[in-house]
Amino acid sequence: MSKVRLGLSTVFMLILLGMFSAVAFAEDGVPPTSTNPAPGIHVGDVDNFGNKSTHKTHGNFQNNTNSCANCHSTHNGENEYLLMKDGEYDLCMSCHDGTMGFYDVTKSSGAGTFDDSHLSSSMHNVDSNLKIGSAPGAFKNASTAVLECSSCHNPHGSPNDRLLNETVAGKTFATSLVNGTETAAPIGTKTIALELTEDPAYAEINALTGTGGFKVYKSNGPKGTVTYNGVNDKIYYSQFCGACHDDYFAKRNAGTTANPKSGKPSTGTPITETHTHDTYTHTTNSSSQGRSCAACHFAHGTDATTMMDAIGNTVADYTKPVADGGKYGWDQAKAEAYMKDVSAKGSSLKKFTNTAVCFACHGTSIAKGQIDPQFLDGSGRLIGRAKIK
Amino acid sequence: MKKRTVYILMSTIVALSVAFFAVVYFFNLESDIKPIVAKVDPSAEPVFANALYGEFNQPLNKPMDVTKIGEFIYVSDTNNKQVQVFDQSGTSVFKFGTEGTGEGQFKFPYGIAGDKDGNVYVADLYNANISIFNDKGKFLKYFNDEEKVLKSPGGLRISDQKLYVTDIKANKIFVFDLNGKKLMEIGGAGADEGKFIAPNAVTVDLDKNIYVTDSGNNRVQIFDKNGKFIRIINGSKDGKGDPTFLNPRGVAVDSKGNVYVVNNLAHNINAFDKDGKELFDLGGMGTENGKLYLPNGLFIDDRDTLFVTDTVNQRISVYY
Repeated sequence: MSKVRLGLSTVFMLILLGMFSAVAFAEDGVPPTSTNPAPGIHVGDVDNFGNKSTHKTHGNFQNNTNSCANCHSTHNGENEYLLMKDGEYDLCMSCHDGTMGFYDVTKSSGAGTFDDSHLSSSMHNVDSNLKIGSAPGAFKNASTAVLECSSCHNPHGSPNDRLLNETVAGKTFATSLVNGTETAAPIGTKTIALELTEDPAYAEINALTGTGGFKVYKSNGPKGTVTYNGVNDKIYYSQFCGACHDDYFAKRNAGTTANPKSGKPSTGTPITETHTHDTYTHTTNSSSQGRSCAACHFAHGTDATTMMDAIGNTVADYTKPVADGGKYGWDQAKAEAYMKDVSAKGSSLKKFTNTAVCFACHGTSIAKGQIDPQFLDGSGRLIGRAKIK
Repeated sequence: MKKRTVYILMSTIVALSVAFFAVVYFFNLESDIKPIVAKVDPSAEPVFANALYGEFNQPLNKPMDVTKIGEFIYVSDTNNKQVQVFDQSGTSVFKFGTEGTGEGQFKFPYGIAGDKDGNVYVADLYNANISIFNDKGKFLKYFNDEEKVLKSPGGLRISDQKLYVTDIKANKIFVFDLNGKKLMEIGGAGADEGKFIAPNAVTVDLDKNIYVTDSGNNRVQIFDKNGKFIRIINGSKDGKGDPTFLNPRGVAVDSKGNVYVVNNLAHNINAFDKDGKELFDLGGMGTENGKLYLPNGLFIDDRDTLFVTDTVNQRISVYY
């Protein structure tokens, strides 16, 4: 009997040992990699023509591209675009925060800045769940979409410079007259050209070969050239802004009886669906100097350290030590107090502080002979006027 | 009662217990919390242990780098422009730094490291300097970069009384002694061996080899202690094929010489053995425990505990 008992418990023990060791030796419960786009991702380095070249993150995709997986998850997306949508701002900012060295949107550039840490800052708040339809000057624009980086930029590439979208708030913004009718430019047409120059701060990177022609450019706003169908890119640029800020995209006398225009009837008429307002606006739909959106406003944002005064100086000009050739040598606090925007509605992404841009353009014709000649240029205009697009 | 009946009863009880526990075990009905003893097996890959979140009212905001100094964990809490300090249990103990360009202030606190006296070195990418604090967060001085070479310091590590720092815009790494004397520099912009585009992190292994994450070129480059190029890890078989990294960031080496690289846009950590052969991945995109969402900084302590900054999830994930 005792012999049998021993046999039973031995068998029992062996069964137990077998059961648990089978599990112990089995593959550890590694998390499935289906949620994990990494193992299948390969960033290629040979282009369509067999040349060695790096794949571009945005646009100019190769036929052997694998850049899609940078931002999309094939089976585990967070929205219908298979995108990590909630994290769009964070996704963009994982490179554009300065950690890639170039295209840091928190630094002052041709588009202004997204740095909100300084005095008098204002910006297109892309991380704030702001509805596009709440844009100042929105009359026809009733978009309920949220303002994101992709509201203005197309990460997949664009014929426009700086990846600027061809459709904004759901419509093709760029229109021009074809046989007397405002007609949308065909998709794929470059309408916005910017004044881009290779950034000398990145000369080393710009000189590299094997990067698929990648260059770091700096922008100085619209180029001011005719891009499509005889229309100047400054006007297309204003149309771009006007896609959301539609009521501000107009000619100064658009609402006068002398120049009636549908949607902007003369004063006194009842407010109708096409009637916007009875007030006047500074001209924004012309390619002449000072008469497009980009003349006075940045696209990203502004702050006291980014804005200029009427003679084109910034805080940096005022704080440059006299010993280093500076003219003023002010301390930072003084310079920022000087450049502070005290407008009731905030700094409104302006390139010039307060209403200095008005003064820079119109000062000499309004305050005739009253302006200290040291602030005037050779043609008798305020020095800062030359910096207005 | 008959002896036989007792035996039958007893063995029934045993059999039922075994059956019960076997069911629990095989159907994974046990608690999800893995005991830390899982790490007793040194050949196994690290497992998620816990996460450090910071204060409820002021959570971490885009933590970019992490280090352990003494028994405390120091995190560059970048968007809050401060350093947040945790004890091992994950309690936020104190924090220091405010926004600004003056002493004790930050604009983009990034690489963080401690010296043997417990002083804390913090690189500021925007302010272009390295601040030194004591272990309680009192500002002591700026790192005296004698030749004024630093333009945009990013990754920072201290090893063997030497300070290793990446300069993102200069596309270089610099090695200084702790008095600020420049001992060595490696790099310059480019995609060739020994050149970088936006190097974001650096670390040193026990043999004093230098590992640099070359983010713009999607690779990690390894140099010997004299700065001589050794090889590349980019996820391909021998480092010579197409890279599998997407914006690699933090890099660290454990006591066995295994190399861990944070693959930022793929939301995971890739581990390689010392010859560059890929071993396993940790993380994967998500918000649950053990998942990562745009991870960045990585630190491995002397007990092979991994600390990774999980920027969108606003936490530091710890793997044993």
